[in-house]
Amino acid sequence: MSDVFKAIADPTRREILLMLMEDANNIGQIAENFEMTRPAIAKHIKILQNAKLIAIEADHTDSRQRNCYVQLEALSEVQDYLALLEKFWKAKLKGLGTYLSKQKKT
Amino acid sequence: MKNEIKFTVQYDVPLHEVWKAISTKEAISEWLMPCTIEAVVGNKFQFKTKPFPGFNGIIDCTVLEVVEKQLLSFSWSGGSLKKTKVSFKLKELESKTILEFEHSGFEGLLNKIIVRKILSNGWKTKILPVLLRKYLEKK
Repeated sequence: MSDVFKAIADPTRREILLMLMEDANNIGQIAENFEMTRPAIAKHIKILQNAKLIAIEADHTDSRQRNCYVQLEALSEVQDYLALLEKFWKAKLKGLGTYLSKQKKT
Repeated sequence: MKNEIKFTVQYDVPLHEVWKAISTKEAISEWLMPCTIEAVVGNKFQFKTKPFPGFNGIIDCTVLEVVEKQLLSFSWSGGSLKKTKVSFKLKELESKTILEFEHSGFEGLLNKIIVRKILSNGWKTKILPVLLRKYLEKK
């Protein structure tokens, strides 16, 4: 099995990806959220990193801390999709306004 | 990174008229898409719209919450979206109506896109598509 496939096949790693989508976090913060030990989380992080799904960078204020980020390429596609979906709903709910004022007249 | 679509709209009509428009199939079919909804918790219904490549034009829904004249929500699965949630909340304000709209639950979409990204990033071996299909069918 390839590293990448193995990386996303695990539900904990998918959860870590979703969590990192919201914000960059260091391994300690991630471990707290999952009630897992740091070494266990570090192992998951390593697999995600090897699969190039996340990147790791030293913290600006504390260089001992390593922050994890989701690679943005996949995420921008989600954002594009959501932007289109938001447009769809805004247009439809504007249409609801037109529908309501038409009902009022009749 | 935001993970839901959320906004409010104001309509210059009394609340009961907006409630009728968002909770009856005749009205929803007119302003949104043709559907068969009955505003009863557990009701399974479909929206039908024009299909396009990758989407068969059908959205499967189940009514999740109904609070008369206040709240209607249903699940929304179709195309790339699996088990997302759409909700309409109503509030009256001086004979006008505020509608709070929310569409949430896009975690599955991210999974799907990540899978697609990986496949497009040169992982097109003979074995991977087979394993991946098995994995997706299990879900």
